Amino acid sequence: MAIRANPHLIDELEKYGAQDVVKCYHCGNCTATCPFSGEVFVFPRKSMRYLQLGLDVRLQGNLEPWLCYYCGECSEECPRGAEPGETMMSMRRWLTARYDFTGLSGLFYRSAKAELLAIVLVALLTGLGLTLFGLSQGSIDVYDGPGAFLPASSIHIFDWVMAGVLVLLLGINCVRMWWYTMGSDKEVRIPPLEYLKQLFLVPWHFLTQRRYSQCDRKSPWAIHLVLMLSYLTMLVLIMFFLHRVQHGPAIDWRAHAFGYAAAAGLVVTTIYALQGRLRKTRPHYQHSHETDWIFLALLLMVSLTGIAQHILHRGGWETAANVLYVVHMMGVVPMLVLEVPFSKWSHMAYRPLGMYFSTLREKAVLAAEDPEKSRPAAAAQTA
Amino acid sequence: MLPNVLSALEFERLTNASGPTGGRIVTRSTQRNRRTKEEEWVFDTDAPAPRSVAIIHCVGSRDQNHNPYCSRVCCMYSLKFAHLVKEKLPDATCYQFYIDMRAFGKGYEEFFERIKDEGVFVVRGRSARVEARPDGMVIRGEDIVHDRIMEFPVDMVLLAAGLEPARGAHRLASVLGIRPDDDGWFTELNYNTDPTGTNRGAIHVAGVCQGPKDIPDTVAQASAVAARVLGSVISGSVRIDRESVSSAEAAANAARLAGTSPREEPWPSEPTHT
Repeated sequence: MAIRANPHLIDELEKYGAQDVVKCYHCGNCTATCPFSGEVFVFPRKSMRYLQLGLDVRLQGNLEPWLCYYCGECSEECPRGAEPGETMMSMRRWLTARYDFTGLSGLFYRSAKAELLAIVLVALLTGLGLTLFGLSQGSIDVYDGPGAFLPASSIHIFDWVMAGVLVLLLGINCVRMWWYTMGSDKEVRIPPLEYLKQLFLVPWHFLTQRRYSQCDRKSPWAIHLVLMLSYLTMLVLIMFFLHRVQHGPAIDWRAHAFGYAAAAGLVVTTIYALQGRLRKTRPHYQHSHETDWIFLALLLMVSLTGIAQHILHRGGWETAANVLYVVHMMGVVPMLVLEVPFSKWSHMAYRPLGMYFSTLREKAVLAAEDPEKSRPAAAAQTA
Repeated sequence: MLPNVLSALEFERLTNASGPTGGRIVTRSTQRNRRTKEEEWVFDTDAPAPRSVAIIHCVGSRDQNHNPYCSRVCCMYSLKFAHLVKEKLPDATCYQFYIDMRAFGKGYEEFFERIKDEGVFVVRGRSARVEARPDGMVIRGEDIVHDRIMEFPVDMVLLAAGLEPARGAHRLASVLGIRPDDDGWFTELNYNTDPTGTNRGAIHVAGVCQGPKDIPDTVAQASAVAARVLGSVISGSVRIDRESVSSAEAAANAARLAGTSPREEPWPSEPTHT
């Protein structure tokens, strides 16, 4: 099979945060250090090779970046300072851009200015729209009940419409991911029944992040899990129980107990990640792409404004609560609209899918392989 | 920690005819020390021979976390070790984990080919892990050529550790007034045109004090030094190549020879090896 080489692939990846890929001299230390490289998926060195050779078609169909959780041991062990861990991270960004059919993802990753501009634009539109809507049907001095500025029922509909659009966009990108990594590969055929049998892996990996916990270092997994579960709890509360959350001033503990826990989880983990990135306390905090900062800043801003409007509302300052509600939405909408299908949030779909696809692939490859060949047989090793 | 991970010098001693086992290659076994009443790991002539031996290249060399330079001799002595293992234990399997095989001397490449013919498994890719498990040692590395992880039990691991300047070399340099480089090796005047001369005209360098090199290179360099010294003795003078010695260094030398002022430039600090 003829493969076209793209001599500018490394330059392209550098815009996504890759550094020092050319330094790699292929000793294989990183691969041997990684607890995840096994019989079928041997990484990260091979991806460094693809980059150096400019094999973007191979990279595009590569699931390996999604199998890496960036514990950073490979970068620490690297004798050349070639940063394989950061290379895998930037490849995830690059893949996100490749999967995205609109091209916006690539634009945002390559240019922080474009992303910031888009965030400001969406935020202003949201603010303007919600203010006009609120003024047209309610009073800014009323937070909930009759005549509310932003009644829970309307926001509920707005949320579901937005969720529908985002799921559609992300869904299309996921189908593209499947095509690049699985569908277009003629060598490995996976029967549809197998897809069904292993489907449970997607929610399983999504909810437990089991694989992350298999890294040698456990604390990044714990932090990530707390962040993810807090976020998920908040999402469920907002999508299904918004009227309970917003209704006041009495506190509905059946909903709010979860809300408070999730808010605390979000604030603590985002502040932890922010100060970790600032002080570079861990290997995976050594290099921060602009999108990492934007992501954390938005998340923190959204969490804090959400908490603030809750306090203001329960405290009886309904006007201020309404203003902060609009500000809160000016953070939430750009964060979700821009990050879920086009940027860092999209990994909530790509990662579990990556695990799912890689498991299917691994099974298919191992089944097809001659059992003699999979053992470290003597004959093949003599160079 | 892992008794059967041996450094190159330990293995050299083990396989030597005048070594602890008379040259038999055996794994370390525990023995009770009668005096201290403690179990210790020793080489016992009757201990079992290793069934598999792995040799790891570039240990501490070509690594920015340790020594950035190539130690030059390890590839060849590792091949020699493999040859010795195969010669003394024909039934043992022997693996070489290497990054690049630097068999650059006369006849060296042929030796490498011969080792492969002897049945040594040559794995392109440095191993990164040796683990002790209840049932023995396990080595893990990437086989780059065949794109797979190699993970299998071994009885003995030999580390081709790189070369570092001897302890005290830095002090010797300071006594002699020869400048050591960043890695601690003595610097020559000019690597290409005056590889034995130093900034102290009458002092020459030869061998590993100047940088890692093998025996033939050391002999060649030492022969050159002998010739230079003889030339000095016969002519009764020390020739200093003015173009090679920078004026600052020449002035410093003159001052030193006159026994007046010490060095002007700060002396390079001793490299710290981890």
